[in-house]
Amino acid sequence: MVMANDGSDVVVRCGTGRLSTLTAALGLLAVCPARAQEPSRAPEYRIKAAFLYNFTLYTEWPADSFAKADSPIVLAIAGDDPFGGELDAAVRGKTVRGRAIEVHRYSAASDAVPCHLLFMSNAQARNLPQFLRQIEEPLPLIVGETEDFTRVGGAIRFFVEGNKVRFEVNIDAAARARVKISSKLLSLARIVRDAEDR
Amino acid sequence: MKPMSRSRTFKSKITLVVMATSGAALLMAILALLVDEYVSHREDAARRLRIIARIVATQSSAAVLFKDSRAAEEILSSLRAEQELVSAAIYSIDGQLFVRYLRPDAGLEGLPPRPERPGSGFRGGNFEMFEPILVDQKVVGTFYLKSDLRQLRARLAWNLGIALCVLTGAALIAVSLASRLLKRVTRPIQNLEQLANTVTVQRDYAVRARQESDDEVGRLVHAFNEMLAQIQLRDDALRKAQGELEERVQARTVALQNALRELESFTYTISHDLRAPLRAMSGFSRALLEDYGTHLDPGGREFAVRISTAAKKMDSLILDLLDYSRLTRQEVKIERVDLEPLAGDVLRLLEPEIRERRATITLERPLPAVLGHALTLSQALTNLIANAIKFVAPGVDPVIRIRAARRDSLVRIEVEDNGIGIAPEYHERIFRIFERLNPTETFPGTGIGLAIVRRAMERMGGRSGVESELGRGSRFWMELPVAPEAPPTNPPP
Repeated sequence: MVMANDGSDVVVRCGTGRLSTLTAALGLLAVCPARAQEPSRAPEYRIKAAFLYNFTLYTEWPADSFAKADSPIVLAIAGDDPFGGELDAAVRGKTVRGRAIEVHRYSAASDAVPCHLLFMSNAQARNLPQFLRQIEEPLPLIVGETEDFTRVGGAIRFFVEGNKVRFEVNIDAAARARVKISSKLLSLARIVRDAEDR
Repeated sequence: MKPMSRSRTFKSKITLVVMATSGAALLMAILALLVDEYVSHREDAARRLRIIARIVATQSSAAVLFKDSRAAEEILSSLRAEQELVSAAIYSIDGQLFVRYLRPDAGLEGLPPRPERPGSGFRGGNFEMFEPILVDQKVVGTFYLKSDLRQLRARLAWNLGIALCVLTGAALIAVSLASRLLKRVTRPIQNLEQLANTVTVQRDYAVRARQESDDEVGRLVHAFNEMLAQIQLRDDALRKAQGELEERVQARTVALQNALRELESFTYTISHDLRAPLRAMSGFSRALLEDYGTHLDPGGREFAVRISTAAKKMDSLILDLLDYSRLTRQEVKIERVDLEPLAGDVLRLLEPEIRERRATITLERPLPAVLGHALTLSQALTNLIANAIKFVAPGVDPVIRIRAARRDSLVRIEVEDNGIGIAPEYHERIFRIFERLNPTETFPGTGIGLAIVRRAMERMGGRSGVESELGRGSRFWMELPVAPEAPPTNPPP
């Protein structure tokens, strides 16, 4: 039997699994007083920030996208930064396969390239098809949050389902970005393809 | 180990030895196999479980990292196929239980509340393992599994069952095989035992055991046969020697009897023929005294009297010798003899001597009847009474008691006197012929009387003897078988 953990994944664990289940069910998002003071969006984006970092763990970029063997993986945020300091905190001091991770912020997506992973704010995401037409290879792995993000050419889209942050992957878009996404990651994602929507 | 019973058969002893040794060897082998199999299977199981743990840990890393409990559950639920798995769990990096899997029959208490250091091992019959979940060589969680090695135990029980079956089967086969094979070994020994018994009981040394093999038992049979052959040889020699000895004794006896008969015949003839010149000497010396007594001076008459006396003495000697000889030669027919009339006749015949010596003779009646020969018995009794009258100290009147007492199937006739007695060392000598203890001058006689008594008793199948001490009188006795009571041919008066 597997323990039902509804909602507890989005909650910072502060006690036993059973207690956190209870707290989640009651809608008390945390029992830790310091965190409980933060706005309700904060945990969601903290999780999303962690997810962005995790994506780098299960994604392999082509070798020619790096200048050197120890060149960093560049995460770029285009438009408004919804993470606050969370993304910097998530990647601070961490390496992936020997590479450090850098976070860059740009107002427009077109300024962000070349980079390895590009997060588009909802406002930037509206210009995604246009951006894709203009951009030259190599494409970054593009992540966004808008409803039709993967249908218009984005590779990964966050969405919230039953109080849990989940993501879907357009594997055709990922292929166009010449990245290899681990099956382990894909097994957690909702998979979409270009063909479904055309 | 208990000592074997002494009465157990040879076969059962060997069977026991075979069973014990082979059983022990088999048991050891089976135990070794079982232990080896158990250990190797345990290692196999552990190896397989480690592989499973590594696969699950690798597979679940993304789910842990993305805190995707559903995906993690899915991975864990695939462990259902592994029936030995009691429980499994994934702990997140901060040590919290993330997801878990419990076999339907397993309890919640089996799950450790927090992950332990990576490692694996057997704990209380179970295999437990903590495997780190790594992403890019960094620990993101811990996978835990616990197996009860159910199959291993079932396999062990199954193997034990098979081992028991094998042991039982092997024991049965060994017993039947040993019993069949041992028959070959023990049969010759049993045959030998029977043969030895036959030899002991029937004293038949001609039998031989059949040698069926050339092993120790065969050699034993051979040695036994050799021994029998030697015994047979000696037995034959002994029997032959015995036969020869008997023949020789027989021949000697016949020769002796012939010589004795010749001697007796010679004695009789001599005695008989000797009497003729004696009669002449006696007759003519008496005639000389009667017819020419007046012509002889007293010296001449004295000589003539001496010749006559000597002749008479010699005649009585010859008569006694003839009696003795006749007793030896004549046929003695055993029949019923009434002692009372016989004793009366004897006393009447001795009447002159009794009166002359003023003897007192008491006959203790009644006297029983005996089996004997009347004439011979009366001769023997006459001699005993005559001796009793004769051998008394000078100036003493003989007092004689005659009685007969029955002892079992014998009758002992006793003649008791108040005579001079006989020293014990002479008690046997006096029964021999011509043995005299006293000079003829004191107690005249021929020295044949007691020899006749002994001979007479021997001829009638009886015995004779004396009880006496010097100067205390004598008690001579004769023993004869008692006659059957009241025979119809001779009713009592």
